[in-house]
Amino acid sequence: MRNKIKAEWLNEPDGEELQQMATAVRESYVNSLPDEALPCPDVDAAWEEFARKHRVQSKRRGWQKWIAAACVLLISVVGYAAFQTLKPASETPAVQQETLTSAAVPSAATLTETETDDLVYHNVSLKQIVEELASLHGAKVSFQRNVSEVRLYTQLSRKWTLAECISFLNKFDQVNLQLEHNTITVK
Amino acid sequence: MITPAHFEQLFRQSYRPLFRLAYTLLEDEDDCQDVIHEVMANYWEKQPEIKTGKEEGYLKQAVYNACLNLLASKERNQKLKIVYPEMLRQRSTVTENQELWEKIQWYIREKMPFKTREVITLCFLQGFSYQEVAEMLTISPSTVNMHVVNGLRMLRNEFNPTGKKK
Repeated sequence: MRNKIKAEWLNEPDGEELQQMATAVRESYVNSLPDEALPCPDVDAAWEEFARKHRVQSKRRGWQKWIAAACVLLISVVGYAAFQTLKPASETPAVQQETLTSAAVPSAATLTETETDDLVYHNVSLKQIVEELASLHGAKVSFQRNVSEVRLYTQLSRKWTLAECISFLNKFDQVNLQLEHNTITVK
Repeated sequence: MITPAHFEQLFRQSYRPLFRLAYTLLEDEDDCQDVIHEVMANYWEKQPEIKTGKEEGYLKQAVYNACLNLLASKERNQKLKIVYPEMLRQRSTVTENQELWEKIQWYIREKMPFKTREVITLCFLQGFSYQEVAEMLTISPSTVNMHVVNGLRMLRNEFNPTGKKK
């Protein structure tokens, strides 16, 4: 619209000043127009476009992000649980024993939980170990002899079944355990 | 540090006033959107430290300056090309400019002779050419030009900050 007016006043000696004023006059008219007369785009659409182009995380997008994060976490947990369930119950005890023989010997009796969730016993009495196992697997213990002097360096996986643990421990010379009707008998 | 939520609120509340300002100068919808987006992007990236409540004023000034720069870069007429930088220099703040627009409207409405007001309105608000206005008012195009030039001079004498008078 502005370009339709030929700026003939530019030929006047004070043409540049008149041009400035002409611009201001046109602006003053446009500025006085009501909102409906202005082709202002929809603010929501303008914001959506801007946020997408300039990667501004609006409130809603922030919300979606948290939902996405929660979904990822849920899937991870479910996946991990499924993996644990389907995994073979244990590795062969013989391999475990080899790793145990090379373990460092600490000065005091300690029970440590390793990153792999194994029960690690350093110079721990057989009595304590068996009671621990029984408690872990919900079994009872019956002592036929006093084994408090038998002390072991060993490592048991929490993932093993009670029978596997017993079988593993029976490989020690001084250990003779029996599992019957969910009761560990120390012979 | 401006939060995304705060920025979104600022964007939404200032978009229409900024569009009005940009459209007043540019009269092109796409150009207006480009200028506003550019200014907002700059604001978001640089996060200038603006006092609370002054953000919209800052954005208006930024849009105003960006519009004048765009007009200057697009102008092909050499005489007009120097006008916009001059406007930037003379009417440096958008607030002064908005006051000027209101004063001009008041002057045209209250002080201008009827015929001159009629011609100015037809030319500047309705956008009719000199020829069209001449036919509507059954006067000659040169008379139309005379009314326009006289009207502009009256306004210039009233509002020119340099105080030059013919």
